[in-house]
Amino acid sequence: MSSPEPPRENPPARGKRPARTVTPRFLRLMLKELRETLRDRRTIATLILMPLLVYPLLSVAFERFLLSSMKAVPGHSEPVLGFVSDAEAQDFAQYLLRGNSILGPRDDDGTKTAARDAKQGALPLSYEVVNDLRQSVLDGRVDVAVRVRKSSAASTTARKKGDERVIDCELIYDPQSAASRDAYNWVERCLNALNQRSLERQLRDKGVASRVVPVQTSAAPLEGGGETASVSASHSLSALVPLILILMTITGAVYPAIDLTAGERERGTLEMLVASPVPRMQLLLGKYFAVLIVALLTAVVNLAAMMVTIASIGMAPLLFGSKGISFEEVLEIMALLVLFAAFFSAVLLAVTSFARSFKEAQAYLIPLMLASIAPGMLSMIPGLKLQGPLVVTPLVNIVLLARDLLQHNVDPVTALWVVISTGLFALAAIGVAARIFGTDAILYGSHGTWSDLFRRPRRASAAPTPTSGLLCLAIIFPTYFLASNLLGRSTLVGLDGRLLLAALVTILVFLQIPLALAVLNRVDLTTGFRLESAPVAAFAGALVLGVSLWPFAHQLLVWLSQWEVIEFDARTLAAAKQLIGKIQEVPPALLITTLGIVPAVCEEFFFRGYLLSSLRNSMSATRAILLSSILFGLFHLVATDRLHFERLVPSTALGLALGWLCIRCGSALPGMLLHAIHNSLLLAAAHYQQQLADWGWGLEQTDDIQSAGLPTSWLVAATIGTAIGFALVWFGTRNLVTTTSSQSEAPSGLSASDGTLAGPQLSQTAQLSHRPGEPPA
Amino acid sequence: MISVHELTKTFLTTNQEEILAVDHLTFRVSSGEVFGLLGPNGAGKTTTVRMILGLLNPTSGYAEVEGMRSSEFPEEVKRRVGLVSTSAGLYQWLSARELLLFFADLYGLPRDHAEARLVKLTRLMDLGPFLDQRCSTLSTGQRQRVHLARALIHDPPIMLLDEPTRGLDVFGSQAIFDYISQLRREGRAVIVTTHRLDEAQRLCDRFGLMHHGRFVLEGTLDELRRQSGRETIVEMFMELTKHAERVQAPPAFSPESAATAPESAQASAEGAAP
Repeated sequence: MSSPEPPRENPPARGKRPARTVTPRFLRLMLKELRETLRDRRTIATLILMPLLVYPLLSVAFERFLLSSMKAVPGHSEPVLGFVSDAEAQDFAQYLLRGNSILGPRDDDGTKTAARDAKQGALPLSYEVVNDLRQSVLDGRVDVAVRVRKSSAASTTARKKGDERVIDCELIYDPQSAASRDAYNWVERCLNALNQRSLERQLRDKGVASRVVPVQTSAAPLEGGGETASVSASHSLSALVPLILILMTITGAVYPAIDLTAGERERGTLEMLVASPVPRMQLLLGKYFAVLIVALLTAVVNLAAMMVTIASIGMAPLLFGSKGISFEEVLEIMALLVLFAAFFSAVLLAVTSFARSFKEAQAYLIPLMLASIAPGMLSMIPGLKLQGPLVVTPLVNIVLLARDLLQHNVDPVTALWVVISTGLFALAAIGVAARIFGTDAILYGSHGTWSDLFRRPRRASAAPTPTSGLLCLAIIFPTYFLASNLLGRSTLVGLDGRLLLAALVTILVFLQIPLALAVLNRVDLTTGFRLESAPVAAFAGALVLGVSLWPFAHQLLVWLSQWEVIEFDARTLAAAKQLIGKIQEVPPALLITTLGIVPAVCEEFFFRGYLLSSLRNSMSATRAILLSSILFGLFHLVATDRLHFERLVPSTALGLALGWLCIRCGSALPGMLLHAIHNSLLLAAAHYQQQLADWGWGLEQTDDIQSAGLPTSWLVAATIGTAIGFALVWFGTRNLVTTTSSQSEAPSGLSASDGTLAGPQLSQTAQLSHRPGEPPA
Repeated sequence: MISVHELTKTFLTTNQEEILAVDHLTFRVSSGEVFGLLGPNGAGKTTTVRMILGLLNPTSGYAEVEGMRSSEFPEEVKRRVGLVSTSAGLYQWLSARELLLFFADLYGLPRDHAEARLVKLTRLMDLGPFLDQRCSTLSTGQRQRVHLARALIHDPPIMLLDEPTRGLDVFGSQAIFDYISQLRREGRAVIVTTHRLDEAQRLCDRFGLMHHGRFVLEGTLDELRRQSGRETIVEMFMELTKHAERVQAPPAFSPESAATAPESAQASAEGAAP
């Protein structure tokens, strides 16, 4: 069978797969890996014994180094003062007693107790008589030493009254010691209060108004007034908790990751595994989930051990603030650990898949572990906020998010960015692992080096691999975040300039990154991005669809809102109104170019061009369209400032239509037309809102989106238009699809390698027309 | 059953030099036939086997199994082939039974079918005494029997046996050769690579003597004898290696050089092993 024309549908459909249950297979694979891993006592040791030993040890260290410096805070325990004689001590105590009773009414836990004690005639302190005042402070025997230099009657008048004696003394303290500092501060406060009161009384006696001091202040500590000393410590300490958990999770995952990849290679079982008719991707997924589960088991054991340790030594308030930690928060931390484990297991597998032996794998992992500790330590810097590039920096973002969670200080949008970017990184890492795992360079390593895997392929391919598609998405997502974040903060240029810059960013991100990856992987640009020509009817259909789809986008919002699936709060509506107001200020040509055409073309270039082609490589058309549409919808969900839940459903729906159009025509070009018209019409409607209203075409101005439904006549017209559009595409591409399917179905009953993730080559496409069994031409 | 056509594989060394591991190899193996792929280490036997199974992609040429090219339909090919490889290991923490059932699952056998195969293979290979022992506790001979059972668990029409007797004693080797004869009786197409030439001579129906990636002799024992003028394969082999050392071309056999002792041929072939 000869194929004079290259098939439109690139890559070709993978024949019909034999009906087999995919999910149970890889789950069974996972169970076998788990059984093998958990029978190994070494795993149990890292999994259970390590945390049981580590946390009590860590807590001892904590108590020694952190708690010791703050245990002598007044109110927590008594400060000890030092004097040279008992008499002086008694003398000085009188002043302190009176000063403390003045301080009494302050709303401060520690001082309140002291005041109560003071009223009962006892001071919350003890004293010691020492010979060498200076030395005793240095030794820590006393917190503050008092050297009374002069104690005498103040003045003749005062002596007559018999109460005000003057005492001149030196307070010796050690600024290096927190206990000494705190005791000194407390003594100072008491004495100052006493002096102030005395001064006021004397002024009153002399007939001067008491308010002669120019400035009067009162301190207003924020939350947790009683634990001011520990607040700064808890900021860095609560970053320590996730850091430790993450390091322990890594520890749990490392051993099975090495064992299930490099270990199998070393023991010679990997060859048997890849000799079986199971796609490598499934083998890898089985291993991935096994590693993930071991990592999670480690995480659970660690989290539990840590919480029990923290509770038993009473460090919870120190770490988590006065509110403590709730069960929900523990669950949230656990969810973050799941996400992190999902990410890190994938990275580990990608790295260990390179290795041909256990030893080699360990050599690769040590730099990786060091590289993960560094950003983890970075997150301990007090005052470091989860914003900007940190949001999309792997590992750091998870540690900081967990810290914010413990400090009850989480921004949901940022959290979602962290979650999505980490998820994408994990997908990309799995993709890389799948590309490496079980390849012959690794399996029979003596014949090549692993750097071969990252060489540019020798042969050009028609479509990108799913790995490359997911990798591209994993790069685009954080880049787009950073770029638009930067743009949002720039105040240098006006609105027009910002629009131009945004268009530029879109071009750079959505065009440059996929192009660079395509060139690196020697993907044919025309087929890889589906830039092939399409029948005129398809373009006509796309045009009609572009004109007639947008009322549905609007109506979908109205319906969703009526069904209370989404809720438009005042803020969203205000933002929308403000946006429309801004849109009306911009020249229409600029508006349509920068917000209508450029994003449409660029998004199609990536989502329907590169991503859909790559996904189509390893799954059926339906699944590829569905997955790419969901990713398309998710991309529109998260903006830098807030979540656009209302955009998720319409964008996904549009993605489905565009995906179908692209697969149907074998080209992304009609989709670009559709998308551009769709965007431009929505923008034009917003821009010419006033004029439209004047013509009597206007949508009713209302703040209530639920009643903003389109007139029925519009919907009917849109439905007819859509039907015509779909029909045009359907009939216009009928011949095309028949040719393609007859070619791709040729090896019926046979499934090509669907798990190897190696893109089918152009040459293979031609070869597929050769029926198995027939002698080659 | 198995058809190899102009199969060629070149590897790149780290110094970017090209090594021709398999050089335009062409042969066929039909059902019920045991084909002996013989040659010293480094002759390209294992690489050929791996290309037939689709574990390695050929640089040019192709291998077909039941009419399907292994580079294009690797899964379909793998489903029809059982591989016993010299470098293969067993899962140390699984018992022989667990291991066999695991591989049955990989090959898509339903559970009851797998159990039935397991019973049959246990009887055939005499696995009963150690079926529930962990693989780490098995002896070399027992392991090799488990390997053979694993390769047969999905009842493949084609068996590729890469050095199945390496490391085995006389009894162990004999047991394996008995099983191979059994495979022939069952009508499977078998390729055996080995350097135990005396054994191979008794066992195989046809032979391919490989050197530097090429066949220097190929055919039935009678054909080989006619071509070489030597009686035993060991003698032919000695001739072959001798000439190969002198010139890198297929040797012209001369009757004068036939005096070499068979034992030394055996030694030289095995001496090349690492």
